[in-house]
Amino acid sequence: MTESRIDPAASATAPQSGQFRPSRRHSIWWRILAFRWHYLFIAPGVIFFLVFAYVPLLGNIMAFQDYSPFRGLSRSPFVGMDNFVGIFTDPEVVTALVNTVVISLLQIVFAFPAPIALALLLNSLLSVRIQRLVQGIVYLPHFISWVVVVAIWQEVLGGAGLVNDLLAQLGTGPVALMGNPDTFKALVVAQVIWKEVGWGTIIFFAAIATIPTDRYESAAIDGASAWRRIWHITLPAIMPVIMLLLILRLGAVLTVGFEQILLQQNAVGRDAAQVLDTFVYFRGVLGGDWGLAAAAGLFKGVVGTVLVVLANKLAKHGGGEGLF
Amino acid sequence: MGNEHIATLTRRSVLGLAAAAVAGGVVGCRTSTTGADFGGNDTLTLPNHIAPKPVEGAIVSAMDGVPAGLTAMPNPLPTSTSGPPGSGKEFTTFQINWGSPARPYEQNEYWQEFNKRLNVDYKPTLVPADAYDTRLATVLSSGQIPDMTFLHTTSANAQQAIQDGAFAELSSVLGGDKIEQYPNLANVPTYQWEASAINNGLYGIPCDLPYVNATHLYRRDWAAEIGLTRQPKDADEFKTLMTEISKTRGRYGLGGFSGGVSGFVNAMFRVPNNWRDEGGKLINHIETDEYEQALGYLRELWQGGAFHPDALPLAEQGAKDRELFESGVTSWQVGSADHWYMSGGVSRLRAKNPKADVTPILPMGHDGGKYTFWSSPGFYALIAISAQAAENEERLGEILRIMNYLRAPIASEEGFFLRYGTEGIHFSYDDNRYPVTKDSPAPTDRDAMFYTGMVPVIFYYPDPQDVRDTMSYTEEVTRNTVKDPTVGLFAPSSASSAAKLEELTQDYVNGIVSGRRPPGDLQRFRDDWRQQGGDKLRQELMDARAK
Repeated sequence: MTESRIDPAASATAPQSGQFRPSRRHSIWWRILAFRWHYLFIAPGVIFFLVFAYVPLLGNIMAFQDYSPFRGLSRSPFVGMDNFVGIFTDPEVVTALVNTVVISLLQIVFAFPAPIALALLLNSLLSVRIQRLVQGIVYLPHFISWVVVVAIWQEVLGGAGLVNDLLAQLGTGPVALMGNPDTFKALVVAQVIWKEVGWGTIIFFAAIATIPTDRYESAAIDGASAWRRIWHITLPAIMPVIMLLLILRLGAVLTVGFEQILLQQNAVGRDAAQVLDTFVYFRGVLGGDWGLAAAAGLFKGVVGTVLVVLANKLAKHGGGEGLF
Repeated sequence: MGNEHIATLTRRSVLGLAAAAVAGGVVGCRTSTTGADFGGNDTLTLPNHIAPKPVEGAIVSAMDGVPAGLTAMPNPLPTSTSGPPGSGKEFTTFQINWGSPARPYEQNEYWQEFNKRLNVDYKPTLVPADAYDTRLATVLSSGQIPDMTFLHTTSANAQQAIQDGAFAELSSVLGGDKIEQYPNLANVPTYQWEASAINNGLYGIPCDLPYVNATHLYRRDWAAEIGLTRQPKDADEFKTLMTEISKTRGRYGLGGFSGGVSGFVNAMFRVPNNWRDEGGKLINHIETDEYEQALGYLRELWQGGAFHPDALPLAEQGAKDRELFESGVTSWQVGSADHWYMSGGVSRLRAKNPKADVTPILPMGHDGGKYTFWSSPGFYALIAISAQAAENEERLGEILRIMNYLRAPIASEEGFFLRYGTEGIHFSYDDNRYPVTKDSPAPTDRDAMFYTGMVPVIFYYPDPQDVRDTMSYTEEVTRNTVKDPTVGLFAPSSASSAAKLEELTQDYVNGIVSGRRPPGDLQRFRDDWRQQGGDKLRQELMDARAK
């Protein structure tokens, strides 16, 4: 009954792969025609990426130019590799690179697993209502802009904030939680966890939901404890998702929150808080040295790409699925 | 606009007002795009100066760089132009918006009236001050330079664009008596043309800025509470005042560690304005002993607890910093007189704390002697004309006529409209015939759009006493100003090093003052500064002066 209803519809929408099986003998245009509906549906996505991701890649030319916005790409003089030499001989870049990598590693170690832990925790809650409630509360901060997040943290943990006010009433001196260069990186990671943990949980939660319940049932019958079930059933089942997100995260290893850090940089100074993105902003946007800034951006992109490819190879090598 | 003016200026000028001098020249207003014609234009004829027509009841200072004060608007208002300046064509601008966005044309009475009065199709690009550089770069790279652009000559992107020939050089159309066909432009004082000329070229109309655009206020009532009933007379007294106030819970002597605070302390220690000429050699202010003393004193203020605990973040949040003063948390603040008396800074404080006794405080010499306050270069920015638009002589004339309208004094039919809008829509008169902003969305449009940078500064406030006080305060501080010897000089490398040096300076100064760095780091700061472009700037400025 169901089949007989679907079939005529399928043939009515013209050449379907099942019917025509176009091969290399057919011209590309014929094949496009054959799959015109498929192409139509992917067209917006492809156009989007072409216009907003691939065409702007051409702008990387300015990494090899003494670029001036008014002269543009076509009239700015080429300077070869000067901008790259400029980057790698600038002591500020070293500071920025070290800070970026440290913050990024801290984020991968602490902020990346946080949503996994939260998802597991939520999953072990029995009441679905409480699960939903908690999930709703923890993912709300994702929608708050960094300007507001930093202001809120300032109000709570700042020198004249709630916590220090309380401490003052108790008679203890103020604690510099926001303006301390030594703890700045930890602060940045804590803010990221606070803001993004709930959002990240959604994906892992969805992955957990796809695990068939009979596995848990048989494990329980065999006497596996809750920990055993998490370790042997839940984690392996969501491992592909974890790997996928981790590989993507590695691609952004040299990108750490620009706004978040820029907003708090003045309080702790450059030595603690200059990262590649803020360097690019100061040198490129404010300093007008667009070529140097573009070179730094290109360097970031290349490093990210290499890391993604390597991580993907490693994942496949280790028997995992990889990304591509 | 509050004291954003000073905030930006002092922050920028910390480093080197080669800033004000900036950029390279392009001969003529045609399209030389290489910047290879530097220094070719040696015979600059400055535009003539015609004193503004006297306004009845205005207080005019005898000193250069002190704006006139007005205790009552003339009635009826005189006109300063004849007929609408435009021909109905589009008129595009790139200008700063200090407030909320304006509403679209259909709902925007200010815009509609603007178009009608000037006979133009006004198409402004309103840019939030924070986003100035990003937006300027965007406009420049689009290739569509607006007819009129607000150019911060301290901005690296602006300097680059001037060197690239994006803007018209105007001396051939405004030099000598040619400016007299635009009478309001002819009111621009000569010293502003001199200071804003770049490599012997005029790349725009200077945006009016008093030599001293700051009124420092403090809480006299809090000072009295700790036993100081008169103004502090030296550095020790000021420090005692600021640190003692902070000992009361919920009160702080100073808010953010802003450029305004540095400026006040620099004045106390007589730090030279940017550079000092020592027997023909330029010494940067950071290289002087006075600067070292000032920095040490700021550090003592910090250690004594004079500053708000969030002083460093607050330094970049000017509005919030001022709000702390206006809500009765901090005891000292600096702002433009307009901010205090016109935009309601002082009345907000009094509304919240009816007993607050707030009064202007003069800088004091650290040893009880003289103080020297840094004079501004006399202009805030250049209002430039697109080189492309200027290729057509007729069009250039029309744009200049429009700018002549936009530079009308506030005490004229045209200027009054530009600043206050239309009666009944944007303002209503109070008992003293002062235009009070109406409580409706319309004035927001006006506030977003009026700041073309052309309107000359004037002191005009609801309370005539505030006008007289501001006049005498400004005169007193201006009398004790020290000038930057490099204003008007051109250093080519400033475009590429200015932002870097500013960032370096801010980082070291914040570190040393807040105790993150040891005081000895001043030497490292000076070395870094010299190596990363400071020495080069010095050499270029000295070469420019020798010419």
